[in-house]
Amino acid sequence: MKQKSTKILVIFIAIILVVGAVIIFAKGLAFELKYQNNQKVEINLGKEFNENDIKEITNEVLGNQPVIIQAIEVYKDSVSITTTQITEEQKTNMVAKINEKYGTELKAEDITIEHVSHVRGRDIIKPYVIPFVIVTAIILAYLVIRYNKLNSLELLTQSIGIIVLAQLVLLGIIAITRMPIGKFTIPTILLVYMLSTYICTTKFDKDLEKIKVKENK
Amino acid sequence: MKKENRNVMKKIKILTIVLLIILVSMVSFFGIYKQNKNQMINTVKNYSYAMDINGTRTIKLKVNTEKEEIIKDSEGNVIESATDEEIQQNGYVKEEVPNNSEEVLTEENYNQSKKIIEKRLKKMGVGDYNIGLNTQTGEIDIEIPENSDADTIVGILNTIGRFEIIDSETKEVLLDNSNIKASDILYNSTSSGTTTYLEIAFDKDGKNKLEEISKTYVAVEEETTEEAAEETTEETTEETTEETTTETSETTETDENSTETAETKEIIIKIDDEEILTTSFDEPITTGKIQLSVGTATTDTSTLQDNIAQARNVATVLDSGKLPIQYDLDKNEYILSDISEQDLVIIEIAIAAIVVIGIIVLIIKYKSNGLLAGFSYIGLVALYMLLIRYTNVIISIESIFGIIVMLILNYIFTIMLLSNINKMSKEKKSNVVNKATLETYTKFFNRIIPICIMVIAFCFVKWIPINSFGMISFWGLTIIAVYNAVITRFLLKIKTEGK
Repeated sequence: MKQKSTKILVIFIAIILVVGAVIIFAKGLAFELKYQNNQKVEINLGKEFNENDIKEITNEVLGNQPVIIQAIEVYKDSVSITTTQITEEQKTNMVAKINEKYGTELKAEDITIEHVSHVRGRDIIKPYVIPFVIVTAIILAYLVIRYNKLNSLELLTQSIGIIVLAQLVLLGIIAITRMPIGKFTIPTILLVYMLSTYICTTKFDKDLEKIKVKENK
Repeated sequence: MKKENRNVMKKIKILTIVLLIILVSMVSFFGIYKQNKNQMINTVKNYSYAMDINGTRTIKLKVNTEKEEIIKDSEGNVIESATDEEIQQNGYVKEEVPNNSEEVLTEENYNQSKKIIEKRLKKMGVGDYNIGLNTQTGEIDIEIPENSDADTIVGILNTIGRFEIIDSETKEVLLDNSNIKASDILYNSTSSGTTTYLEIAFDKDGKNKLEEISKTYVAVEEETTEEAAEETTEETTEETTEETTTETSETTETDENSTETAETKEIIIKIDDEEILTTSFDEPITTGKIQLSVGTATTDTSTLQDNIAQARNVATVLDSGKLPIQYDLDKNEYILSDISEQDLVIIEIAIAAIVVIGIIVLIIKYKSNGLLAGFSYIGLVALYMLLIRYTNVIISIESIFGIIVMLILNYIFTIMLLSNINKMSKEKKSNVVNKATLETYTKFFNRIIPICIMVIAFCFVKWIPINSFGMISFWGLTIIAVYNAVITRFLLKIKTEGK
């Protein structure tokens, strides 16, 4: 029974890895709007606004496009609307609807569409690489010392395997589900990393237990 | 009678701890309110948020497209300044030259500029930033945390950082950025106050050049007696000025004690075409380092801090290198996060709901022990949140995940402890709770040592998202270790061993 479930798990992981790799190769990874090339308009309403009202207007004008609505400066009387692309017509419509909603007299020609450059994926990951490498090296050294009764080479291979495989599976899931790379990616990586080290210690504790039982026999 | 008393005491003890937990929870989750003028203000310290929750200072740098008017002579040499008459008389030509020539507007230079700006951000200790580059237009979008340093940081981002030591007469560039190895800030305290110095260290080639300059540009100062002064005066009057005019010397005379200062040659130190200092050297510099005083000696703390900040800014700019392209600050504004307080409240409610479900499971599975462990769990969460507030840990999205992980770990710990107590109670062992606690601690912390290693290592990383995750998890692990040993163990001990 246990062997069967292990087999299913292995097949499941293999499918995730293969499909994930194919999708990454064919389509690449999806990025959150914030990390893509995007366009932005900033509208000074001169009075506090309700985010839901603006959301309603952007939904009407921009349709299904992803949108980020942010207040500007501490008085929160200006709004920044970021989306993938804004046409002049959409801008004019948006301004008209805001004027209607808030009784303002804003002119579309006074508002410019800004282009915001994307942040590269490697720039997002860069600050995390060295800390992760150092921590992994320390953890591996600790595991080798603590489980010195186990074969060190096997232990190292298995530990690296578990840690790397866990991250690859996560990457595969991200690719398959088209989960955008963004603010929740790094915390998820951290979570999976912690989980994989926990799996390592649990597994090696069991292996050690088996050796002890054998020795006692 | 004794047993009854013991039972009453047991109940009082449990009730006291439970009430304490409720009190701490009220303070932590709802706060302590005091009237201030006409408002009720929560006196419990607020959480500190990272830029993904607090909002960012958003900066846009655009490539400068302005043109500069220059005057050239007939041979094409640039003339520093000339009047319209001089231009006409000498046949000079006025030309409009773009600040950024077409040759410098390349993708390579855009990338180089981005790298230099990143270096500056790191040198200024910015622990979290986003930087995007448009490789077509060269526009750079930067996001940094909004705090009291933000304006200072913005001020140095588009500074070109051109450092030059030039001959005051010929304007020949004697040393420039290419020879700078590093720059640092030094202090010298005397009775008149503390002076801040900017120390610039040059590389091997620069060191040799500096030594040569310091030997060439020497200040000659002769202090003479009355007699000597007379002699000098005679000599200078006897000899025609033919020889002396060839040198760039000045002669000053006073009536009685005559001092003759002959400053031969001077250098000008310039940063971004701004003259920082005009000087000559008293003795040759062989160390390859020069120290420039920033401001004057002061005992005033704020002036000293200003001087230090000024020196630090220049050091940062010089260390990070010269921007190959001139940039203009196009936008500099504070944009709030798209994660609102309402979103955070929703996350809190979701976590609270999961915790309540978890506690119900504990009660179903472990009955009264589960209930007490559940109460203890709530107390831990409340205390943890207070600890986060007062230890100034910055809350980022990463650290919210850290909090969730710590809550999961504490739940695992609680289950392990309760099942160990159950197991040992069935085996009718004595001192059950202490033994179960010891066994749980050994097993639990042995398993999570790699997590502890990771958490401690992350506490030392400067990058805010990692650091905040490390710090939050560190306090989480500490509170799991201490709180459970004291409160949870005590509660369960009263309950289990008082029977």
